[in-house]
Amino acid sequence: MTNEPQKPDVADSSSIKADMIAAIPSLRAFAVSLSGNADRADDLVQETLVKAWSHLSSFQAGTNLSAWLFTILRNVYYSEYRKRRREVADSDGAFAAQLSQPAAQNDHMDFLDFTAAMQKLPPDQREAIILVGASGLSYEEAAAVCSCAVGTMKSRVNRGRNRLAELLSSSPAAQKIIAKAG
Amino acid sequence: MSEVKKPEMTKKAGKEKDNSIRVVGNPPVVKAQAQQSEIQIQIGRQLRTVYDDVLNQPIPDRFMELLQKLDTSKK
Repeated sequence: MTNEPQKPDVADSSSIKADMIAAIPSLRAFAVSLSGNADRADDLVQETLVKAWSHLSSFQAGTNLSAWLFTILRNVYYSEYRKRRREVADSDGAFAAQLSQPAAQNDHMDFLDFTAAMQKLPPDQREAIILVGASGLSYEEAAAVCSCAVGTMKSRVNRGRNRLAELLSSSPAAQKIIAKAG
Repeated sequence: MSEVKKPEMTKKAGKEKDNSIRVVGNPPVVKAQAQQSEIQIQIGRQLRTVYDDVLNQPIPDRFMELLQKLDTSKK
């Protein structure tokens, strides 16, 4: 990834700090997409940063810091997810209201339907379609973040997309799309 | 008068390509496929809408403060 000569493991903290700051927007975007809740997402990011900072020694300088942070974030998310499994996903529009440009209306799929459907996916499929479909990671990179095989990542993406389509097909907005495409 | 090409010649012996696997319950109708792909396009768009919206937001102060604090508390 980098052309720097081999250095001792721990990079100096100010450059790490700058790299972490640079990674925050994508961490937040990942966290919001994953959790479907902006407040919780920022708590996830906060915890991720604290954890990362206290485990800096396990970060190998010269490797991809964002990927490392994504991995930590998903671990934090999953340990919380297990605790809160029964919690109902944001369905009252609080999340949508926090977005600066409330997403696609009219002809498009209803945004709340979409957010709700995302939260109905098994989390491994959800994160797979976010990482590949929105973060722009390759299947290989996404598989590395989730520590799974590339083939597993591909099948999660496929299953997730199919399941989402299934969930959304019944929504009134999707019916309109279907009518148009048909 | 030229020789008629035999379909067998283009076929690898014993190898049957099976491109026909479809999702169970999804009838192989072109119309349905068009609808599905339109839905997939919308899904992709929605995904990126959420992601990019947050991606382009300014970094909240709390994170800058947090990193400042972490950095100074170290050593």
